[in-house]
Amino acid sequence: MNLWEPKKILDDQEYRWKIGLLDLWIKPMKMEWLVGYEYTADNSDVAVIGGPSQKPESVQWSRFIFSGATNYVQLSPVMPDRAVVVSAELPVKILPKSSAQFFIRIPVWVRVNAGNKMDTLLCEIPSMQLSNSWFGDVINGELCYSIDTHARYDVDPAQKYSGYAVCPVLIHNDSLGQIDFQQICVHVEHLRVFAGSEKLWTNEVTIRFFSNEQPSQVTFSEKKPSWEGGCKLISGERVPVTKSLLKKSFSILRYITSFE
Amino acid sequence: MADIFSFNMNTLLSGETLMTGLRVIVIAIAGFILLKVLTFMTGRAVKKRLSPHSAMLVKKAIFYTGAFIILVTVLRQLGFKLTALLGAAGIAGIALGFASQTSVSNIISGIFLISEKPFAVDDIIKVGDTTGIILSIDLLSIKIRTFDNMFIRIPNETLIKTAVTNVTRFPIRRLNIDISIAYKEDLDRVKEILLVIAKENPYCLDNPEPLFVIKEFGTSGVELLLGLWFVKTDYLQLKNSVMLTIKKRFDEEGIEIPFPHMSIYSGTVTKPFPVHIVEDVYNDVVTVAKKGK
Repeated sequence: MNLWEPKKILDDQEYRWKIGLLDLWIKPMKMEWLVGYEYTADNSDVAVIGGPSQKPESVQWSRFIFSGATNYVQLSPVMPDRAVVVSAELPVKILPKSSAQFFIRIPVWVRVNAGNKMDTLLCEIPSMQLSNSWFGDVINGELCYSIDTHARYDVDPAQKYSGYAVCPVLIHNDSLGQIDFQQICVHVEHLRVFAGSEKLWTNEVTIRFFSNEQPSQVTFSEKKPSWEGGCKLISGERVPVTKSLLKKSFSILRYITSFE
Repeated sequence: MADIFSFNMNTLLSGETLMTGLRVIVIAIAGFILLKVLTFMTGRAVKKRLSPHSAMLVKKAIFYTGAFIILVTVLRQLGFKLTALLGAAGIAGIALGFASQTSVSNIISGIFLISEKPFAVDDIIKVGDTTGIILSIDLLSIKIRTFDNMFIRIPNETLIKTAVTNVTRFPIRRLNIDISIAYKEDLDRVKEILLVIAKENPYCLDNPEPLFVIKEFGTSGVELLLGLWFVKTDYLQLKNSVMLTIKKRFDEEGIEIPFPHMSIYSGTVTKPFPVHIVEDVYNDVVTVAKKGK
């Protein structure tokens, strides 16, 4: 059974899902549902799909009261609610008029929906704890999540993908000089999530770099990702976007912190 | 007496006087209503273009100018000679000016503060020993609410004269934590532990990176500085959590945080301070330091 399909669960029983590092328990009751979760150190890539399991004492329930009894739950993967900053494995240099394709593993957030039509949103839980980061200068930057995965040139089959979606990022260097960067800021709140036969994917992001002084042009593809067959849309973007955005997407190598 | 009364009443009730009185009332009421409408319309017009403080300033300027014009018009209708009145007002103005120097100074300081915009409503500022959230910025003073919920009024003149720290001007800040460790500790290991603590703390930003500085070799230990960047709203959460973790981890790792102390040597630093037992009285050990041994 697919992890992201609707599932029938019985009243007063505890069910467990394991998605990446996230352990999630749901207990439906007559007029309320209980949801509890914790993060584990177990990074095995095997997902547990709503099996009956007793919740450990250490995990606290959150209570959701809603009218309309239901026994159906659906988990959906969505992108984080703000941009993520990703580091390249090594500082990257892209020569003028050249392009580079990167693949970034982005931790998904798990949206818990209930109801016969799956239209009652109970909560959203990150599949792993993300740390905060600041992208840009200390006066005009923006708050992002920092993720410890790297932008890679290929989809590495040896890596774990449970709890992650793969985001293809294509960078064009349209400037006269080479791009010299070590971080990329991806506005994932504008991305959709697709389920492939093995992995989750997002639509492709294209970043066009003009110069250090100008913001980059960021475009979000409308098409399904083509790197895996049978991709099906399972979650829309959080924030709809116009065809392209102008965002400062690169962190040029520089020393930000200084001792007064 | 009756004649005088009847004469005065007649004079008062004469057609011309009645008309003047009526004119004065109409001018005052209509002028006041018009002025209120004009102030309101101006307020709406400048609301989107100017900051709240500048909009308030414009509205007040229009209101007081209008009120002065209405007053002058009414006085002229009542037959007052304005040249004499303005002359008297000039003398009174000088006297008033001397008497209200502080208020005028506050108003002028308020105008400078509004144009300079060093802070805005809802900012957290620090003036001298007072720290609080700005509730309002007015012509004479600003009003702030301290964190222990006290209302404080600070005259604008004070703000112009003293240094004001705007704590929340920028979106992120750095928390500087001074740490002292004993001389026997391995500085590389301590640095590694502190940076791991920073990385694991959810309120600490990964970027800009935490700052680690060996400040000086102090009298009681090695003085270190750990600088952690955070989003301005997370100050208390970060400070409490990181201080707790540092103490806990240092205790676990056996890293000594020295208290202020002084070591006394008797000539040679490598030798311990000589102690010589001279007698045992009432089962208590009495020790006397013998100099030079």
